[in-house]
Amino acid sequence: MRLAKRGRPGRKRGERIAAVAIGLALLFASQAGAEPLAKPSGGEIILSVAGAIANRNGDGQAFFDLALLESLPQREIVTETPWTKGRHRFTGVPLEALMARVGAQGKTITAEALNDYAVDLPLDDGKNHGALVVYFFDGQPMLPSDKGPLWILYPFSTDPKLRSETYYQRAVWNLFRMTVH
Amino acid sequence: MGLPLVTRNWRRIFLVCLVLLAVLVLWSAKELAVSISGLRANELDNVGWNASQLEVQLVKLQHLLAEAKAGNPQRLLLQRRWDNLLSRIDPLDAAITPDLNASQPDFAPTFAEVKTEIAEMAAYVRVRNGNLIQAVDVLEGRASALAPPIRRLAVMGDQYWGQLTERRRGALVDKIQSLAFALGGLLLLLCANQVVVLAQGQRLKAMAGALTKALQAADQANMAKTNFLARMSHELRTPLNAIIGFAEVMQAEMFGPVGHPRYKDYSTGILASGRNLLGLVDSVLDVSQIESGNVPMTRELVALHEMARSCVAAIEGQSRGGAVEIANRVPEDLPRLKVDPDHLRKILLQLLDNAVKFGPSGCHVELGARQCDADKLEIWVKDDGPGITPENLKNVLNPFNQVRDPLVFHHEGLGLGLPIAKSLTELNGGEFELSSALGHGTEARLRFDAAA
Repeated sequence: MRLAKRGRPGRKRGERIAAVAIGLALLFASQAGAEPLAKPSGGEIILSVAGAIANRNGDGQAFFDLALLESLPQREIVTETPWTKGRHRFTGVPLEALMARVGAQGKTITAEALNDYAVDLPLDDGKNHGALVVYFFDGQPMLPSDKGPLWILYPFSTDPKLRSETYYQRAVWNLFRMTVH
Repeated sequence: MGLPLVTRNWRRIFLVCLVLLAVLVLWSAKELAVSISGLRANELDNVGWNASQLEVQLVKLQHLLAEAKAGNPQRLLLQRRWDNLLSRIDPLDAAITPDLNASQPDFAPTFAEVKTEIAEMAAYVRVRNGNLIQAVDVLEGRASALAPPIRRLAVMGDQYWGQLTERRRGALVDKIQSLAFALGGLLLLLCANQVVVLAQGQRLKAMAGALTKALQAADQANMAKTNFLARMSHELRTPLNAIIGFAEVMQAEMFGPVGHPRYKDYSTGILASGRNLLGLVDSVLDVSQIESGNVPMTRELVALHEMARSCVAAIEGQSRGGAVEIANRVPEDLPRLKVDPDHLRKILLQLLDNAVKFGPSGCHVELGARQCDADKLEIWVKDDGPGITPENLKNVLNPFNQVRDPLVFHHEGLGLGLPIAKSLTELNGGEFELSSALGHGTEARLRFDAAA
């Protein structure tokens, strides 16, 4: 939760155009048979994924409503966090599965919150640390006036390594936008 | 010589201290590592961060409310800022700990006041079906009233962070100090050990010097004794030769009869005693020469057969009227030996003399020789006399150690015969072996290289 104090790192877009173009070309070649991403079924859009992704469903981005997120693989973790009292059950889509679904072609995700907090986290945190994009808190959707709509969470209670500033800072709540680069 | 040698007990105590200090060092280092890894900023400034974020969100909301009031309503953004403010309540609630309450007693009551106020604002918004624009006037007034207590929360959060940091730093310093003390103790102990080891080394060096000096003094004293014995023996021989010579003259009545027959008996006694004494003096001279390494020596080719015959004859001549029988079994066709003939004669005479001297009347003595290997000659002298016990067998080859056996106690001599025979054998490149069993006689075996 600290990075909001610093600025977001500057992007070197110019330098990356060529790389992204090649990446996208390769991606389309390799994922030619991948199922196209469905459009949200009319629910409120709670997440947009932009940047170096292969599968989009509108306006150059991938948009998700709750139903579309729920259609992805689902996982549940039970953990404590520094921002809640006691243990809670968190349900969501594994970051790895979400990134695979949008065909992410980068190393880093910039995650942004409604309260203007933003943080960069490695794309591999899903695979390496079991990061989850949570949409249910104890089985209930979360409101923006609480931690909603989405919350990137790590299984803090099961892996002591994760109980450090690095991962606490990546655990963005009020999450609504992700950019892959 | 300075410090005494450190005793085994002290060593043990030292080792125990060393181990204890080492354990203390390891434990302190581990404690320090735990403390450092426990320094989590998130834990330390959770309250401060959340309180200040609450204040930030309030300020952002106030700004939008003021804009709306001034005729520029931004409905969506206003909704978001309102949600942002509400979303800050629970995290701050979760960050409150008993430690915070003990340290900042005003925090919890102030926060409760803020929560009540925000809940009332939320209720007001709900009554207007969530339409914030309609609630702008009231919300703006209440938000202004909220600013001072939220500011206080932020300040208290910061102060708590300061206290917590101080406390953690103090604990860290304490742990670093105890680690330093343990390490210092360990080093001091090792230094002390080094000092003791050095002192011991010097003491051992001094002792070694003293021992070397003592050894040299003992060697010198022994050499002086040997020289004295050699000179004494030599000096004794001159008058003895005169005594023996004149006794022989008298016994042979070379210049006419000595008168009363008893004088002749006496002269015979003088001659026997003189010869006996000369034998002893010769033995002492031999031993002292051997000890000082000054044995005169020549090497000649010696025919063992002839040497054996003359030695047997000499011993038989002085033996007690043939009471002991000596069998000479030395073959004539043996290769010759390259030794000092005087030494070989002395050896054989000594062995034969011993066998005859210690054997009871009627016992048998045998002198024999054979070629055992291609280039080795073995000579033996054996008897069927009383023999020697195993303990004594170890002693008879040391000078001045005549066997104190009751059976042979009556025999005269210094016990030098066998040691001399052994030393002379070895001096001439031979091996000397003595075996015996009590009641089964004694056997001496000598092995020399045959002359090529």
